[in-house]
Amino acid sequence: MLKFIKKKAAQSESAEKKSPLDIFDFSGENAISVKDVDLYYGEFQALKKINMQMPKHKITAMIGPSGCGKSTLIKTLNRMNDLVEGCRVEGEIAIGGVNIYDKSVDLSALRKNVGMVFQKPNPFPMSVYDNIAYGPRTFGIRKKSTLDEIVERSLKQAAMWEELKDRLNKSALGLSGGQQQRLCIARALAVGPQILLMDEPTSALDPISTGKIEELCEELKKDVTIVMVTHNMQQAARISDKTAFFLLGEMIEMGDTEQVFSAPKHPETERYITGRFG
Amino acid sequence: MQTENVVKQKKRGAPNAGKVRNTMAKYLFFVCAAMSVIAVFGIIGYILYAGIPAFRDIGFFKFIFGTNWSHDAGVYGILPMIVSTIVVTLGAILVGGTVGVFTAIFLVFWCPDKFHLRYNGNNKFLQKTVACINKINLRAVFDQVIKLLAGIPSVIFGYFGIAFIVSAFAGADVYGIGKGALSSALVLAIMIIPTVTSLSKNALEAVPQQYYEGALAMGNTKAQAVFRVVFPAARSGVISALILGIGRAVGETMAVNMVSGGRVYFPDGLFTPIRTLTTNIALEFADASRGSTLFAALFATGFVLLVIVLIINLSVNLVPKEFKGKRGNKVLHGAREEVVYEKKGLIPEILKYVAMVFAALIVVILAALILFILIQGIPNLKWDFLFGESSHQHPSLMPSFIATLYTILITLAIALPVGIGAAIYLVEYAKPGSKVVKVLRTFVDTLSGVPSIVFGLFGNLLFVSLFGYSVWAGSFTMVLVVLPTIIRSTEEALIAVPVSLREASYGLGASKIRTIFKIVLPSAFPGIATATILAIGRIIGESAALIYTSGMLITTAGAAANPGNMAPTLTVFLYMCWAEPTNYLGYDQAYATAVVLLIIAALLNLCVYLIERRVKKKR
Amino acid sequence: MKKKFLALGMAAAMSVTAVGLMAGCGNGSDGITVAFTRPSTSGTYGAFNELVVNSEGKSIDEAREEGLEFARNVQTSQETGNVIADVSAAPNGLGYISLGSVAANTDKIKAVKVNGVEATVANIESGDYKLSRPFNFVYPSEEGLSDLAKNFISFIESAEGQELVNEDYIGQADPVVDYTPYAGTEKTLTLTGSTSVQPLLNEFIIPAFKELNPGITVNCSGTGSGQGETDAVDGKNDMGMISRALGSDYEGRLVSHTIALDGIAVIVQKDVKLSNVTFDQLYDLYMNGTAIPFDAE
Repeated sequence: MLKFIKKKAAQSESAEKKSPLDIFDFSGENAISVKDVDLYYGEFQALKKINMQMPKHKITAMIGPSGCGKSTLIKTLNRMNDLVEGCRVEGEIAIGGVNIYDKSVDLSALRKNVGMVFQKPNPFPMSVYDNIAYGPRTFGIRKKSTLDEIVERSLKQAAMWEELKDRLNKSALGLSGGQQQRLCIARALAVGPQILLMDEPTSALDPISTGKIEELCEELKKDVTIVMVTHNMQQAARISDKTAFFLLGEMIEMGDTEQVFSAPKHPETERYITGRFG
Repeated sequence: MQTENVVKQKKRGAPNAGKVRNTMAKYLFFVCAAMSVIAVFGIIGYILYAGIPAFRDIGFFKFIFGTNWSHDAGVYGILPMIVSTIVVTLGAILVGGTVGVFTAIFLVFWCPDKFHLRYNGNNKFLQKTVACINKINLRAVFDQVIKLLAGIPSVIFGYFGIAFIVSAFAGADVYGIGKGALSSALVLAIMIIPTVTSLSKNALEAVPQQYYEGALAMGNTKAQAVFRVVFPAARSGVISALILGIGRAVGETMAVNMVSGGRVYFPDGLFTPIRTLTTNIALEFADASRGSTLFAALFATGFVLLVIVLIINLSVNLVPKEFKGKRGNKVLHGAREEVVYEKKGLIPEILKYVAMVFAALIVVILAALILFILIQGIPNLKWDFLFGESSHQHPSLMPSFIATLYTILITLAIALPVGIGAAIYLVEYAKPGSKVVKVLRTFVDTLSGVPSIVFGLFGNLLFVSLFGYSVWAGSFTMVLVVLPTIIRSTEEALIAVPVSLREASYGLGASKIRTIFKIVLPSAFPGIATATILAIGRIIGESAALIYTSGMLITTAGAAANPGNMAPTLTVFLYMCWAEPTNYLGYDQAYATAVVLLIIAALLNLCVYLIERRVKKKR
Repeated sequence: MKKKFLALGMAAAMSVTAVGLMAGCGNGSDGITVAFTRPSTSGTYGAFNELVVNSEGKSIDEAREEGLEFARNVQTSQETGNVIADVSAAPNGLGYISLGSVAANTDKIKAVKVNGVEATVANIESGDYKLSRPFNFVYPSEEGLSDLAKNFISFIESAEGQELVNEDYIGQADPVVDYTPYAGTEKTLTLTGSTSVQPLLNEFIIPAFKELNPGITVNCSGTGSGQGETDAVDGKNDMGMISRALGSDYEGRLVSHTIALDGIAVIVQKDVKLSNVTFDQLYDLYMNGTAIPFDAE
């Protein structure tokens, strides 16, 4: 902790008001690059030699049948897999040029920059306002006016400011499922991430809410890089720029979405896309 | 809700055959429910009725706000006792509540599952020992120990209080005694810790994992996620736990009596001897003849206690189950400022260590308590004392074993059918959400919060008059004590039986009564069994309700074999070792008895654990 | 504010505990500063308060009836045994118990002289020792008394019974009656009330009585004389035991039968140097909190 404060002091003198948590350099073309990643749950190998690049300000979709490892992979990108007992990662995952499995990497800094939206909407049992302000607050923002500004900006970014501006003090649990999920996106945006991980964000939602979230993703990619796991191939086809197909822990192929869907290189991919298994 | 609607629909369509039997069953269940209502109303009504003369003779204001209580002078004012009760309870909840809640947090989030001991030497025995220790599931052990403590008779805490707390404070007390407000508060604090910890733990575990994950995914440290999201989300459960702890502290009689000093003073110093409302009843009741002002004043004291408990119970309902907004609905137009995110979270980190320290403290206290009892008790645990012939010169536990067994059997024989019948009526027959059901539930909840000394008062009046001082009178009193728990737990067990099972049974043309007995009750059996075991635990641990009903005395196994005679249960015997020691009955016998009670509590816990495990396995 | 104070107090006290536990606890006072009394249900309490009269002729009981409170240094011990336990734990403490209970506890406590007179059976009989009171059985009426109860009383008043009573108490049988074991159909005798009377019955009378009447159960229990009276009125016992004269509330409703005379011993911890107390000292200790120095004579 002390070390950190010192580091922060040193940084704030050199760079002009740069957050000490922004340890990543996103000037490169790819936001995320995964190199030779193997992942084990105890004895079981869940991911085998994964290599992929996820370009900046693009939507990368990961598809594949259940148990293929796509959700596992997305969770390694912000190290949520650390929670799983007996989970071991080998290889290198570089985000903004930094290997996130390096010991020196601060988990808080990583997750501040790599936000996550879960399969099931999980707003905290607090007011809408407090949900959004939660992240900034835990990162030391206390000033009311600053928080107000962040809440407004995040909600606007998530295109729900008009819906919610009069219900900011209402419990977030009272919102509809689709609203809750967009609120979770807004909440993730509030800490200013560069990357947004979405683990089947619409699987629990109705078509209309799904449509809204898809629109939102298109909008958001101006600001952030999006990595999305989805079961819905139409969704991948509709909104993603890159698509990666996974099977049994291996990445079978990855390419521009159009190419993957129109002319898959691999027969397994074709069989999956055309719905012959999965 | 849904359950009952479906049940209702099906009722209309029930086949005509066996209609009479079904109607009879319905009325039978209704009678059970009605009996519970009568019991509740009877107690509350009678206590008020018996207390009214006090308000009339002494004057309401003089009684409640009078600062002196002296039977000699005929002055009865209970303000010092009300204040003492409140202060001691607050002190207990402040210490015990904080420690208990933090311990629960530690247990759920930081308690390691296993030891990670390492041993690289060659000694085979040590290797095996280390491997063995590493296999122990630490969290489960901690959990079970806390549950065990929740089942220990409170009198044992009284002994612990005398041996450790009172004697430790003796040096600090000007009079060199050490009893009083502080000792009472601390004994109560230790006593409520298991309750608070165990219920808070349930509340924390009930918080959806996704909140925790969500917070971590935002870059929170574990401590931040726990203290800023999960803990607030569990708030209503934790508050309920604290309120139950308060209820237990307010209602405790015997343990407080052992360490409070017994004088009617305002608690104006740490070692001022005090008297709480419950101990006042215990101390003075023997002197109160029916119709005297003292008699009325004691019932009025009981009534005040009842009102306090009612307020506490109702305040549980006031705890908002869900978040209610608090931030103003201001239009936000914050200036766009440079936002600098920093890593924070010092306070949650500190709280984490607080939780660890408190948990360690608990371990120390609990270990001290259990070891203390075992060390003092085991050397005195002789065959002759346990099962020998009992006489004044050689008191043995044999009569108490018999009396305890009788009390359990008689109590359950009455309370189980009535309680289960009442629960069946509430869940299967009564109109869902009707006012009657709501009122009944409120009263049943109130009854469950009534301090047991108040039951003792009532039992002495009614059952001792009917049966004389006897195990019968004690058992009937205990029926009232355990009835609410049995009703509520059975209700919950019945509600938990899926509607689909009932539907399937009706679909096959089974009658309602058949469905209840063949489908619903067997499915709810584990829940009911657990409730029964907890009721047994309560019966074994009870003292205050029994001393004025089945008596404190040394008797013989032969006499105890007839429930028409007086005989002390094990816990009453334990209390007697302190309250009426003789040359042949004292601390040695007390600790030996405590060991026996500890073993019984552990066995009961084991039963509950096994039932729960079986249910889990089935699923 | 108060809560905060309390919390601070708690914290302070916790540390005191720790220190106290480590250092062990000593108490360096050189006089009697604490007194133990019984709850008002106790017969010993009633008798003691009535008998202790200060030099102005005022008894503790009269002072109490005037509404005077006991001094701050007085604590309540529930039963006879608690007084023994409390006094034996406090070198600066003093209490009073039935003289009959002293002999069995001389390893922990001792009786001191009162007004220069030793507490012995002989001195009570001669009237020199002033702190004495009767043990009574109480019941609604002679006619209503069960045969078993009558038989029990006649055993106490037999030659054998009187011998047992006279070990620590003073028998009141006059004349001594002949005893024949009970031949009726009743099986149990329930006695409730005074904890001071219980030792006499439990240790001496009941074992001998049962030997002569093997089929009979005698339930002898209770928490104080008051309970003996209330239960007798309510018909919850066969006879009530009280360790004082019948309470004025019950005159006309109950009759009493004296079975023995008992002294009230003033007790201190065994090793304490105090050997004598006066009524004045007792009155002042209980009502005014005045300490009794150990060298007092």
